[in-house]
Amino acid sequence: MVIRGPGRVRSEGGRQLPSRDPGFLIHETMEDMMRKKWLSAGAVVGLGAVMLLTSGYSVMANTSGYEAYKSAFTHTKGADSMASHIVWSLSDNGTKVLSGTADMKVNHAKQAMSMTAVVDDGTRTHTMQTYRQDGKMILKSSDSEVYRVMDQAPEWQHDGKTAQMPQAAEQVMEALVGNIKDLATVETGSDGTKEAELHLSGSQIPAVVNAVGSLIASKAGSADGWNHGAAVQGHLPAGHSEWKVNLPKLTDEIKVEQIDLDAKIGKNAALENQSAEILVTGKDAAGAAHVLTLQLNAGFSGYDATTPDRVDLAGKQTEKVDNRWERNGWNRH
Amino acid sequence: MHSLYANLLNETEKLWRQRRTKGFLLLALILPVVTVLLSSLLKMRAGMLFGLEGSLPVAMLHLFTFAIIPLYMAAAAAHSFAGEMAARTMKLVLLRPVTRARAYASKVIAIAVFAALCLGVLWIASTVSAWAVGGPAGGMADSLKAYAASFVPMMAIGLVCVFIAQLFSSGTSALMTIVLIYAAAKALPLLLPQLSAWSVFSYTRWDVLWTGSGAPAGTLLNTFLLLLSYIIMAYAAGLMMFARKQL
Amino acid sequence: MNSVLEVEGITKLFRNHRGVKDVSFTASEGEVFGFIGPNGAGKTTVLKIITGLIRPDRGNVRIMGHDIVERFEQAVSHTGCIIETPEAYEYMSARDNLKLSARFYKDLPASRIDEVLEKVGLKPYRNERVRGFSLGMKQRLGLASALLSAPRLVLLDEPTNGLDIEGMADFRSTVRQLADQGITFLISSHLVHDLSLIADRVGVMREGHLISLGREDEWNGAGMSLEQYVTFKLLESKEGEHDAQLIRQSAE
Repeated sequence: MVIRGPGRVRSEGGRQLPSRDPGFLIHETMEDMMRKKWLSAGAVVGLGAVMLLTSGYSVMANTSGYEAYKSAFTHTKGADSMASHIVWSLSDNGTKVLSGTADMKVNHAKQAMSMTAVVDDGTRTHTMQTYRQDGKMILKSSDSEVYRVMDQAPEWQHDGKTAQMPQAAEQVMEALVGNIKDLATVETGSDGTKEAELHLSGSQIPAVVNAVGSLIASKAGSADGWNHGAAVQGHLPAGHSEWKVNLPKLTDEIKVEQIDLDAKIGKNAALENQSAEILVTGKDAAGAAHVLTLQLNAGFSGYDATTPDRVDLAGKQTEKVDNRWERNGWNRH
Repeated sequence: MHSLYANLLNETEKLWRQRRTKGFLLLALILPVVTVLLSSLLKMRAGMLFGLEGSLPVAMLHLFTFAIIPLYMAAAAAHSFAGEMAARTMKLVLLRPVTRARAYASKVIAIAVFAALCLGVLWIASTVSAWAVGGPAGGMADSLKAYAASFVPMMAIGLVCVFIAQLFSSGTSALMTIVLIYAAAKALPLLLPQLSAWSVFSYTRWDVLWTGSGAPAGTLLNTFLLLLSYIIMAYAAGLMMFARKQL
Repeated sequence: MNSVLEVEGITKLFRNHRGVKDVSFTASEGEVFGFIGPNGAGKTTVLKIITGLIRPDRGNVRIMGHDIVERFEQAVSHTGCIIETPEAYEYMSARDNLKLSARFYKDLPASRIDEVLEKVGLKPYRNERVRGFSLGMKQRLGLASALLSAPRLVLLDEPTNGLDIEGMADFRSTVRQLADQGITFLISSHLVHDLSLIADRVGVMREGHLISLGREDEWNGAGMSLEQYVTFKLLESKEGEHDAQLIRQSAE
């Protein structure tokens, strides 16, 4: 590029030499060229920064959907009292193997709970009622007339599944799960309710989840496992007939294929409904392929307005039972 | 353009001659095989193995995108820019008929070539290993998508490494700094989870959004634009610094 | 005669106030131009500016008519150089080093590499790693690298460093030979006697200024050796400084 201007004076060793410039032209200096280049490079960086800001905010907005679900979940856990109705079933290659329902009322403030759980193994149903009242845990199974009573330690020690996960552990889990958060979608309906959805399939399922799920699935097929567990929980006093559980024993290629989680969050920012469908595939010892499906639907209601049912033990057969949970504490779970 | 191509060949040859490059590619070839052999040796149920991440190729991918590929790119960037300055061999590129912009571009592309090559080798090695043990051959299309998608976050991280390398005049200090920054960035989600969406280092598992049922189109676009913006900024800023260097 | 190299008013000031100040000169085809001056005078800085390693604060440089900023690649394609110490990739052989450089020159015949290695006497060591080379061998390799593309302009910074007497003589004859074929040399050195044997013109630098440009016939005609001429010019400059200042002011 050439700019018109006064002729350049050439100097060589301090002596002025006749100008060689053909008629008043100055070449664009090095500095001008470089300045232009810096400007264009700087503009590109600026453009990139703008792009980063807009996309970053959008990503954060989406993650806020996931956060909304999390806060609903926390709200639900933290409620003083609530009622829930759970329906679940476990199928193998489409045939229902095990199913059940549970109706639960919990009041944390009063440390009270009542639950009726029904399990159906295809041939029989079995009902279990559980009450927590007056510092005691009362269990009654449909198989017997006896009410088994155990002394209940304060809630915090027992709180197996519903104990607060320390925040650090929660953050570690989220970090491990990484971009999974971006897969969750939350839509707000016109009535103020929200629908949250997280569908994972195949390689989206994190290693940890898959490993745990596969392990459970492989143990689930063992009838011993069920009976032992049932005995521990007091469902099955020794001597009574064992359950017939038709779950296949998976030995090979166990994989969690799909996890579909759907939740409905009510106007009060608490969970109204949570449904889950988990598919695990595998092969049994004979080489036959199985697709295990766990379906679960839980409805939540009566927030801060639920009073659990009570049972009156007057005139009923009772039996004092050692509280295994208390003995082993948190580890039991 | 000839100068760009010529220097690209040079930079590729220089990177190839280094032991770390050969080791890195060898690792991509061997690790899947070793994993498969080890698991059958330990008589672990093959099902459990594939249960991890759903398939061996994807398990290997996440291992490599988490640490191995970023580490290689950091080392290559540190060497190519800061290391050559320290060894005084940067002169050899700058004194030839190739502009600074093309010299920079060729160094960047050479690093990208080896990152892509590693992904390719890894995919082939793990798909073949998985198939050899009679694993599920289905899902190859999905794993291929995952590998292809992973190139984008890897490039973004690589270019950030290149930018950081411009700030140093010694290969070792450049590499150490990049590693520290990377470790801190990986710890970020634990301390400030809200900020992690902004950090380019949080997207090493970005491929997850592309496989299976996938993520909503909006999320795909936003995260892609985010990565692209890092790519643009890091490239331009690195170029500016490289072009200003006075030897 | 055509100007192979035109340097106009280049100025570069470093933080410690060292640098080059308003240096201008030209070099023509087949000329051996020597840059003489004490250490720190700015000789290497001028060479670095010409080859683009350093960006000057002011001024222009044109090689074969191509401005080194606007048309860097065309300008540099006509040059070969050794700036400061000759560098090479130590983990590669001499031949491989040259192969890397050769890639930039599209029409370079494959035989050129061996040809140029032979010229500098490195042919027997061509497949050895540079790591094992002595200083003199590295210098020769640097020269080979500079001559590889058959450039029109060769810039050399202290090229006889590390060479023995025989090596220096070989070097001088190579330069003379190539200059007779029309190649321009710009050689910076503090070895005045050495330069005196081959230089057609010299530029004397002192504290960043180019204080004198002289032709061979100037000092020969005055009955001086080059050393005497240079010393004279350096002393003269202390008085001439005032005059030079005035001229510069009127030019700005």
